[in-house]
Amino acid sequence: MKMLKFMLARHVQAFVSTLGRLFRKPLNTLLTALVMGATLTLPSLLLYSFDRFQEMSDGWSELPSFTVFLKDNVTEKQALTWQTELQKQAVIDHIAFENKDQALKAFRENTLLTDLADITGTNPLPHLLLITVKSSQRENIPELMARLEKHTLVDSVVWDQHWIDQLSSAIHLVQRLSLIISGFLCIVVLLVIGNTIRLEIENKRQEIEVMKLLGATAQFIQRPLIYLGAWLGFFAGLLAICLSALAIYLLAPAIADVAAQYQLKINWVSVNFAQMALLLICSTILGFLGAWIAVLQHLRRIELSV
Amino acid sequence: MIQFQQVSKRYPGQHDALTDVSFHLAQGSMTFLTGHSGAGKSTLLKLIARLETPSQGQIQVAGQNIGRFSPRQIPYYRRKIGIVFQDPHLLHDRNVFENVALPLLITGQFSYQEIGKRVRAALDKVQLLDKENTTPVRLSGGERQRIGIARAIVAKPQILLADEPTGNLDAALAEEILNLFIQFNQIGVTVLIATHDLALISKMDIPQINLNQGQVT
Repeated sequence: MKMLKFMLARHVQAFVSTLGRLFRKPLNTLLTALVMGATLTLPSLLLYSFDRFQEMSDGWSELPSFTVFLKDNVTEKQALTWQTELQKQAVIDHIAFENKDQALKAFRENTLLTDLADITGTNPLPHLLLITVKSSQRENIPELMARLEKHTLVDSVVWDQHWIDQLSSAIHLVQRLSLIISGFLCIVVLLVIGNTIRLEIENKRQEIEVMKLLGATAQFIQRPLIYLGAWLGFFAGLLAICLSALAIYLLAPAIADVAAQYQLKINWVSVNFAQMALLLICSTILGFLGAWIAVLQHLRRIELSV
Repeated sequence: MIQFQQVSKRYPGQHDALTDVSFHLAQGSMTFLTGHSGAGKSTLLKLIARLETPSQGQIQVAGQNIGRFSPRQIPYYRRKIGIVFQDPHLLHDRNVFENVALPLLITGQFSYQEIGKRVRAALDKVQLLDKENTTPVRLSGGERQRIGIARAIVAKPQILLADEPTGNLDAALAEEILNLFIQFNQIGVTVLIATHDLALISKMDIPQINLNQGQVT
């Protein structure tokens, strides 16, 4: 019990004293943390963007729907009968029938072409069915569309949201790419930390030699160096959060513009504490790992030269 | 306490630093290790501190063959030994108190109160209690040397090794420091002092081991 208490005390002591050491050289600390923080900002922004896109595509996937234009000669009664029949299919969530007379009326109210019917003499608009597919049946849409297109009553089938699928697959590609880039950047952070710790070991060479001479175990010498790495990682994570917030703030108007053109609602500026915590934990672990690797590599080389 | 059995040490590419050295130092004894510079005094001390390993022969300290220690055991072994160098190797970014406290922090077995008590006792022994908050840079050579001694004895080692501890000091100061070693010896510490200060040795009635070109004469 007493040993445990001492062990804990030693860790707390190393933990606090390394923090003190960092603050005694604020400029060095800031520069190192800034290099790492800036490197981590890109992965952090990518992570953030995925979330926003995910929210967006989640919004779409609720209502995958398409429009079926019926042939000119199809009567309202035929259309309604077919609607009831279609409704029984498991794939379909619900169907809205749009009468061509109503459509023309709406068209007149919404446009300046009030006398369209007068020009052609007849109503040029067809009856149409707005078919909404169950969200779980998304992958069956192409098959369903092909089937409906062959139906005798159908003139054409148009999927309004086809571009969304194209965008989705593009985003998917970008996501993959960003993951790979993030991986590389994490390696960069590991190298930066490793180099910092290596320099620290060089600077503290005399101290380390004296400690070894006085009977310090390898762990005793390593402990503060590894904590140093972890602290640097933590501060780098904090800086990355600040830099990401700045970038989001600067990008927000431009993103809103683009989103407006596609009539999309993106909640671009949102605070996600879980994500921040994740970033902090990851950067601290990166710092810890980088320092650990450096310590294993370089500390062994210090031989006592007294 | 310390027993050398036909110990030789050869550094790669050089002549033998020690050849066929055998001696025995009893527990609680005090001994001078004399000889010209380059006679192998430092090598002998390094062998005892397990900073070097012998090329041949066996060294037993407190009944243990120290050549058989695994790297893990070495730090714990070194804690039993206090070492005083000609250059005391103080850490300049820490004050006197922190420097002397270092061996106690390393063992990690003392509370802060205990550390304070022991460090002040050690500083009191070398009569530098009033300097505990000073940085080593502000101390004179003799004061630094005494801080080095305080650090060597603060953890109450069984063995005290000193390599030219009076090398940089004037005669009066040298004698004062030597008296310190005698005091530690009187409380049971085994003391081995390497020196070529013959004037100093001649005043004391203390056994000697004389090295000449790596051999005991």
